[in-house]
Amino acid sequence: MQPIHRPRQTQEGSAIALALITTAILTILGTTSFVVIQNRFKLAHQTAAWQEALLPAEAGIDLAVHEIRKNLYVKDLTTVFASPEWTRGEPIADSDNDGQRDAGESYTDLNTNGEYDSGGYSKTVSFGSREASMTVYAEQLNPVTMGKRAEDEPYWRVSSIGTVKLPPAASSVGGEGFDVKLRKLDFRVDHRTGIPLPVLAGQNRPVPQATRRIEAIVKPVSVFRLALFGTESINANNHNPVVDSYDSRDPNKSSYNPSTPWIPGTYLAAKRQQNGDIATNGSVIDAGGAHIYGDAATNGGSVLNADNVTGVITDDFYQEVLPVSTPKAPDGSDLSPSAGTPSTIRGTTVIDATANTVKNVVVDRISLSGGNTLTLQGAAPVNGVVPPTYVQIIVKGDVSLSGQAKIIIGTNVYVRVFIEGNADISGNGVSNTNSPLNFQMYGVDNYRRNAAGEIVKDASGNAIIDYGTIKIAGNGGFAGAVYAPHYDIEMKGGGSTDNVFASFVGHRISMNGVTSVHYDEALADGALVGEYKVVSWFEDNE
Amino acid sequence: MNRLILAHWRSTTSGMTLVETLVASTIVSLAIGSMYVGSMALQKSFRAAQHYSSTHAAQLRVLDYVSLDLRRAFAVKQSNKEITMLIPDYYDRTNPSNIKARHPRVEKGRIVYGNANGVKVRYYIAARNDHTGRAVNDLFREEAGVSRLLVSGIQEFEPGYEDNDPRRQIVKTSITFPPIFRAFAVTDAATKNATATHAATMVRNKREDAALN
Repeated sequence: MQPIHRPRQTQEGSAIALALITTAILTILGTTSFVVIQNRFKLAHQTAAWQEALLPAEAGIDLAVHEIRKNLYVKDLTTVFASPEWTRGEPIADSDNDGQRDAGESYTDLNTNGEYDSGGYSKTVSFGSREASMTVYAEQLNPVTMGKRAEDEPYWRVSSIGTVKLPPAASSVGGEGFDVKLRKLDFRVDHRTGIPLPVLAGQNRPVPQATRRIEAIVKPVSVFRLALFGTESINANNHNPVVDSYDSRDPNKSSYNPSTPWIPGTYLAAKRQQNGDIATNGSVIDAGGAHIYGDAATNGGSVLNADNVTGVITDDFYQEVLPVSTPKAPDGSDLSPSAGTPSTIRGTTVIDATANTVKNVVVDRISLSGGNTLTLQGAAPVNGVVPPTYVQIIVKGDVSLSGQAKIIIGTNVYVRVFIEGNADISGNGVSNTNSPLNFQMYGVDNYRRNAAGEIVKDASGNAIIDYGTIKIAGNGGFAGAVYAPHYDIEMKGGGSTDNVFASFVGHRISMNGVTSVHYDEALADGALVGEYKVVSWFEDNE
Repeated sequence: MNRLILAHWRSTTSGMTLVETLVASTIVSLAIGSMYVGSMALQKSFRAAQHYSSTHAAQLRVLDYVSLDLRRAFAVKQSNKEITMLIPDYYDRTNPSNIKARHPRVEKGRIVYGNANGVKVRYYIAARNDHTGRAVNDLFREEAGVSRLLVSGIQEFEPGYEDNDPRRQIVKTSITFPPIFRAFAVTDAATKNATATHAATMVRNKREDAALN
């Protein structure tokens, strides 16, 4: 009979069971750790992708703004967005490659208005084998639907979607429900369009993605966005002048009455605003103790005697200066004067401005003295409202007003004066009861030219400029805007009640005896467009 | 024959001496004790790491929410452990199943969508006791009067807030969720500094903070 070996068998069985239990525990621990770590890893990766998607989305806005800014240099809109990468309309799935959206072809509703839009321009840029991309759509907005006038420069609406692909294996979302609500990752269908995500070649399911959508509104900004802008310097070191602002369109910021919207508000000291900003592309502003109710900015320089500057003082300012040339006919030839207009103005003169079209006046000079006046006459009232009329005067020589002479601008008359010579506006100045926007004066660029008409350059290759002068007497009264980067502008006065309602852009600006410059903020929304600025930014995370 | 078998069995199952038993018991006790202590430490460490990881993810989530709203806000204000802002009334929710973007317009020189006063968004905490009776906080995001829980059961929410940028366009926020496990006896301040998550966000729209008053 064989001996019984039960104890040995019991020991062996126990060891195996113990090993299995230990292995099971370790496996459970390992699996739990792996699941937790994988979830965290997935969350981290998805969070990073969502963050990264913001970069191409914002880059799309920059790309469109860059394209829109071409308007500043080329006034022909057909050349804007002319790059072949830009196409008309919102992006479409152009299955038949005919360049237009046919029935049944899907599109990306980039402005999320629920319908296909064909009026704007779109572009898609991909990076790194489509791992990231941006799709941008830019469209002009109707000024009337924006609450503006039909003749105002249109705003632009730019919509941009930035997309970053996630690893195909990331077929589910990491993190908690709050993360899902925030990031709204797409795994099978684009949640913005409802279109199934594409399945790339060699893969059996769509590539998930993180997207961010931004909408920016781009505003055309007038060259008159500052009270004083000297490309070289500003000197207000005389008589402690005041520079402040008002808004002739706002009852809280001027005397404007909404019941008579065609009458612009006037400046009221009690409603003074703090946007009388002054700036220079140069390095010196001598505030001279002037009361600047606004910001003061230089380009790497300093603001002297700035005790009374209420706003922010910065030294990182630069504004591009636009060229000013005499208006030409569409074919490039010299502009012909309208019939019946004078060729010189040396005595009392009356010019009727015209509605709908601009009356062009080309004169060799304006020289008024004694009690002579130049009257720019508007239209007769219709139902109590004077319709707008327009006149443009090109002065080949100088402008001079002395004695009691003055320029009278009729009600709702818009005047643009281009000066090729110098200007000395004294006498009784410019009588403009409209907004300062109604009287715009442009100093034509004064590049030195040789006999062949070519611009002369110095040894460094820089064009030589023979700066002109524009003198304006504050006590004569002036309400207007001056854009003359090749002119030194001197505001001269001497009385204690001098008030200039204006914006000035010049080479060197000096205030010599003028008490006050009141900047009408409405100037920033009219006149020559000098810049495009993003004025509204919204990220859509629905 | 039976005696032979019994003798053989006894010979193979000879017992241990008392000393051997005591030594073995001691070793086993030490081993089990070490395993227990080790497993407790491991579990504690795992829980601490998991807590740190989850709270860090929650911190990032909160900062992402706050930064998202700050970027599109046009008015910002901070009070005691709260951040309040106004964002454009961008969405037309007339049909909840088909939310559309509104058309922009210019009002008093500013771009507005829908209600010119915008939509108020607020981040705030609400205290409560958890199931163990411990005081904890929940962090909420309120939009247009509707609150949504963002993080539950946190110990502290400290919105650090720097608003000293001269152009007032940069807003800095920081959030601290102190860990439940600390390896060393460090101070609360040091712990918060070590676990704080920061964000600096540029408010893209021009600020009109007066609209919040």
